[in-house]
Amino acid sequence: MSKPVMVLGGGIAGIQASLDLAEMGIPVYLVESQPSIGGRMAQLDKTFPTNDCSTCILAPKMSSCANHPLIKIYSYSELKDIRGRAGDFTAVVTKKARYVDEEACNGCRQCLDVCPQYVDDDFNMGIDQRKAVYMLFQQGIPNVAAIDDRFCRFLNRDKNDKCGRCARICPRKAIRYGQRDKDIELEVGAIILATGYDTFAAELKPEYGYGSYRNVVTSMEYERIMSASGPYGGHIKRPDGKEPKRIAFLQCVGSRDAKCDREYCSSVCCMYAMKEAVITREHIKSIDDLSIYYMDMRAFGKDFERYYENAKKQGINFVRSRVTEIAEDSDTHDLKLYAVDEQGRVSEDEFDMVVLSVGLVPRPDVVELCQRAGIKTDRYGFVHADDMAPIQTTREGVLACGVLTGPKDIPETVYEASGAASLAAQLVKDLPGPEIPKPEEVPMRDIGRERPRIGVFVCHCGTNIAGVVDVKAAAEYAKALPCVEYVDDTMYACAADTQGFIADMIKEHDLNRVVVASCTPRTHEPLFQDVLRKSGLNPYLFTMVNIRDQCSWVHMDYPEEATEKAKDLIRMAVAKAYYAQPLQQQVLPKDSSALVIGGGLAGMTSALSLAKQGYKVYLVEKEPVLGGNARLMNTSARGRSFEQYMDELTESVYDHPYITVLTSAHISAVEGYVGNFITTVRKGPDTIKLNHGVIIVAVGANESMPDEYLYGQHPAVMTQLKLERQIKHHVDDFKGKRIVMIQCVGSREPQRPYCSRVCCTQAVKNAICLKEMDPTIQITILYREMRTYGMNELYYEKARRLGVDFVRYDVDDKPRVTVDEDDSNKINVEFYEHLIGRTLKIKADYLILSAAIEADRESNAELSQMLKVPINQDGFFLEAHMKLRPVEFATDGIFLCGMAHAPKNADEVIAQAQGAAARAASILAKEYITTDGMVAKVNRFLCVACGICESICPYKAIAVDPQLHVAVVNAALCKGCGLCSATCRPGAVDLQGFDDSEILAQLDALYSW
Amino acid sequence: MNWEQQQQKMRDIASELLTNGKVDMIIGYEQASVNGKAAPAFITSPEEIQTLVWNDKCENMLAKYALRYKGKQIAIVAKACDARAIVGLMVEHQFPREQIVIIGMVCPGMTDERGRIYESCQVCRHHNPPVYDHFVGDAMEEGEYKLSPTMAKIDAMTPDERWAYFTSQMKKCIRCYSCRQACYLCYCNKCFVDRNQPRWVARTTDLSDNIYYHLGRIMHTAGRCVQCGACERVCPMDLKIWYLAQKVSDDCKELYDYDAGLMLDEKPALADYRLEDSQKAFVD
Amino acid sequence: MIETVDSQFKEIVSSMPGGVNLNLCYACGACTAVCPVSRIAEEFNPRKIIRMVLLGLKDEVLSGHEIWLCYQCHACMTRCPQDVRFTEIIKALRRLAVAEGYATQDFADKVEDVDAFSKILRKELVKGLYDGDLDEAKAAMIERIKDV
Repeated sequence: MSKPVMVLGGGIAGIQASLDLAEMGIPVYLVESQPSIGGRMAQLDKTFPTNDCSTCILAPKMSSCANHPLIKIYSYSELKDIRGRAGDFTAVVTKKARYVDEEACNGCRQCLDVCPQYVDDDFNMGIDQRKAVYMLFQQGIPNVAAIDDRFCRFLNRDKNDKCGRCARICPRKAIRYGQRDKDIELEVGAIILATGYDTFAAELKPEYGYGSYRNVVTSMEYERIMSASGPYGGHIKRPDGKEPKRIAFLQCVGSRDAKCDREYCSSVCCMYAMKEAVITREHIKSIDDLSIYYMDMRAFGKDFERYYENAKKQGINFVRSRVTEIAEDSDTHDLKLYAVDEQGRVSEDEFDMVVLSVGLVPRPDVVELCQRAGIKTDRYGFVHADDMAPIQTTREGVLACGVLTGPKDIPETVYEASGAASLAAQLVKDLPGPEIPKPEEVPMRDIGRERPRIGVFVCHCGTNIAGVVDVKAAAEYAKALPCVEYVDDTMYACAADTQGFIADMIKEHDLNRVVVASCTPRTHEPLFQDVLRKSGLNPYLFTMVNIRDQCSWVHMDYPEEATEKAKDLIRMAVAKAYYAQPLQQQVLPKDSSALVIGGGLAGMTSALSLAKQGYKVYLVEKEPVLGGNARLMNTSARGRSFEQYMDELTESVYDHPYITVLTSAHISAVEGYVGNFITTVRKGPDTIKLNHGVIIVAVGANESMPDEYLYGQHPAVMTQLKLERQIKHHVDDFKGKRIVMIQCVGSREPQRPYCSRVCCTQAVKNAICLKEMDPTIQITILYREMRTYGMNELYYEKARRLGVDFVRYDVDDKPRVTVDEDDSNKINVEFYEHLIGRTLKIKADYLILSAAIEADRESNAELSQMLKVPINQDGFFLEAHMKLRPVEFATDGIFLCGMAHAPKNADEVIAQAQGAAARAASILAKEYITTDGMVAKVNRFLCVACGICESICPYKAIAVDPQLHVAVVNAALCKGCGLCSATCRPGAVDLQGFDDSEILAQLDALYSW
Repeated sequence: MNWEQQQQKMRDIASELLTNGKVDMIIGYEQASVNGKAAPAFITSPEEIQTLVWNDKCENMLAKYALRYKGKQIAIVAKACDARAIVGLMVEHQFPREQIVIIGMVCPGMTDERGRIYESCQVCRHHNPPVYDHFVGDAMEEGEYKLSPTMAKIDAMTPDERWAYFTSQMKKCIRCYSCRQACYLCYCNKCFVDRNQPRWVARTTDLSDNIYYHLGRIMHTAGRCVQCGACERVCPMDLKIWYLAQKVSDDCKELYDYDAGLMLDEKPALADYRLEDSQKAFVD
Repeated sequence: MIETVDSQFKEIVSSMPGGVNLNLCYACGACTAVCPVSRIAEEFNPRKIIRMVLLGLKDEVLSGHEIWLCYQCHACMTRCPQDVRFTEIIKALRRLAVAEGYATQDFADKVEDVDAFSKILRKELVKGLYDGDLDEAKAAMIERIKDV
């Protein structure tokens, strides 16, 4: 067993890093200061751009953490000190006194009911209250109470009330007033900091009236207001109880603001405000006005521009004006704000409610910890080492990820966290660690031909289901169904103690099949299958029926009918369960090397990361040299030389004994599946066959060639990349010259309806470079939105300070570019200046176009066919899930990083590449591949080898074997989608777990009552 | 080239193939005993070549018979529809290309015993075999898309009238399965109507069972059928069922620009998905 | 259609006291949105004035009446997220206008008199409101305004 790693912070970053490490076989101590892991994502309602419910996508990962034998969660704990050095740290962790025995408490919440002390609920941002003894949120892990000793009457020896009620009522005697804070020393090889953020304290901007005007709230408060598990149960109300008809969202509160020393951009607020507005519209059909007041709409991520366009179509009103003053009507408590349009007309806009889009700020306690621990932070408190080493800190062996290193969105956080896991793994892989006992393998009971004995558990899911469906009635109904031996209704079936209860009932009533009627199998099926596994039952004897998404949520206004439907669904599930059979998982051998396609910054970084973790890597590059686009670039925004960095990186790659580099090489065929790929590579006249276990796609993207603005027709017109090269080799050409840059050339238009993300920062960087070389150079940048997000905002500020002009233009009124009549070397750029209402003309010596980044559609299409992975509408590869699985495909064993995924800056490429390496390593680290039991099965006697199943399968998991003349299923790839089974004409293919008998049983049950 | 000339050329080719041992059997047409019709012929020796005929009564779908002779080297006298059928079967892995020598016959259309050209041939879009080893005849201009008389009649009906027409046909069915036997696409070892675990459709001649059988069969042929019309021609009860086949094939043409059996490397319409595919079939 | 003229203008203004952050303006509009003068006079637009300075439209800025409309209430400066200090810049522009001959010193002094009077006016009227003798206060002011 290798030396453990400590992860500080149990939000999505910490959870992802922990899971990656654990999957690689490295033990993890996950330390979280709150009583439960989950972090900020647990507070959010929905996430952009998919509008998924945040907790729903987070909870399964939380569950995985809780269930993973290699992850030990220290909740309600803080890191006091870091002693030692890389490879040999002692982390001193203070486990705060919860005053509750974690083993004994079953989360029944009776203590909460009897506690007399009310306290502001921080989780709900102080909108409502909780008790002194509390549980952070309903799906918390660990699902155990804690007493907040600042407010507990007993612990504070309250003169008027000795209390002690919780201890008396607790059926498990779990209250322990005698607990004290305890210091624990953890011996670890590496430390990952993933402590997240606080939101900007809006009271620091008194002009917004936050704290005095009751109907001004922050965005995080609004998330809680919107959330079904929040203080208002998902009914959007303003704090005084009225339903709002007009809501304003004010952007940049505490961001891009020198007045409160927060000059940076918080990256996510434009998108989250849009999301909040869009979701609000879904909640309240009758809403009159949803307005977002902004400076630049920073929708720079993958699919964000489309989300923005959609929001506009849905009637969200976007007003380009920064609002800095709100007035309140003292009677109605409505709010009035002043905005100005580009013509200078001031308008007075009235709203019922104002949401302040507050920025993300580092946590002061973490800043203090970093100071103590010798970890350098920038002047805002974010942790930085180097912009080309985004995850490393100034203390070796301590890594940082997530918003701790700078404001960023969830996908960037997730891949940074995976990257941190990669780097930590590199450090600890050869260090010996403690023996961690393997969990007891419960032997599976052979149910043979036992008569089905079905247990049915119907879940309330708090009010998510029970608020509409009469759960008790449905449970009662289930009792009379055939072969049902035991029925119960539970508050939260997924809670740890209920899971234990189900296990107990399986034993007590000798159940051999279990039905849970609750939420969606997408998030919770593995959880319940684990319960069966631990009880000695084959996990495929579990049937899940969704009475939440498919019942209570969609029939919210029809409780009676919904209850009848829930009964129907349960009856069907019981009928299916009757036919459920134990299914076997197979174990297959695998290869432990990797193939990286693409030798640019992304490819080289992930190859090196994997090699440093001890895996062999084949790096295939179609050009004769490694380096890709990065070779063409000059410096990073902070002034780091790309050339030097890439030279060093290339040398490291060639020097590493585990990496085999194949340049001028093309992939001609890919066969096999995860763990067992065989790729054919053509290099010159040679054909090479490579065996490997995983594939990382890092094929990058290219700067497009503009078809406007005289590009290609005049030597003074060039793209930003060309400018970089010119600056590198012929910088004197620009001395004393007049330069115009045009942004968004070819982006955010019908032929490429996406944002290329890097161009604003690149333009600003190049402008700074030129200005620093010669301050007399005059530069004007024509933009549509300035998308210098995150810390790049500081470069925008620097550019302005150095005298670069920025002028906005409309896509409907693009700048007009002509060759000057008098001096054919010069280019005339004519544009409309909105703020002064005039058309201006600049006679420029150079015109620089920020050309769109585009995917190599043809090449990507070819590769996507070979690998059987999807491409999105814009020609970039499509990941498995936009938020939580940003570096992998739905097809197992194939990963993605760099610009092949979407345009991004160099530091993001590096982080994502290291992230992809971690995810790939989690497969390579395993001894073998385990297949799922719910896979297709072919009846050889019925199959006529017509091949339609093969054509239809999205995963290449079934194919006609030419010798056997029947279709054969590859269980390693089969995802159990059932398409083959549905398509097969003679019905030769059946999907185990959802076979014909089970489905027909459900239909029969549905129609027979 | 007229019928006789085609016939002669076909016999010459067939003779050469058999004599030189290139094939074990020729599947073609011979004169039948009833109504001037032709019937399938299975020639294994050069002496029998003269029995092969080619005329406007050669209406049988011969590709069906090829399925019986898997593993043997055969040649087929193939109208365009037969040739397309064979291509379809090859796409579905039923025999390798090398196994069949396609003697492609340009076909202007087949007629019934009264000399009337069959509906299926009236609206035929492919008179020239698209894939062949030998091309017999002068290439014809291909047919344009048009509705058959029955389809035109049905197009003009209201939904209620259509239902009435359809059920009037379905009521006649005696479940002899001749249509299935004649269709080259129906080669499953165990047809869905013969299954009883689960029993998808009962073996009665109740209207609902008849409807289930026919619609099920037509849906199984959707995207694969070459509209040869053999199904309707063999029906002893004179069921009008070919228009159903035409309908699904025309839909594939309209929605996906696909006609079955034109290329050996094609993917059948319903086995392939492209982003630009029409959504009309699902969202309308 | 005009070309960008006199790009030295912004250098000059930014080197004057209070002008150091001139370049930092990112045209967010906060100044104009809070400006009480903007609300009553559409032609007074702090953001636009800054823009014109940055674009080098020296003539227009210094010869116009707009720069004299600023009430020096500092509301913009309190709000500006880039600390551009517009009030100081206006003062610098006024000094430049006088120095370059777009306005006389006499004119500038008189503007100051108007500012001073407006403060007295307000004080007297508010006090009159408070004391209950508003009409007397108004009459007194009407007399006094004749001397301004």
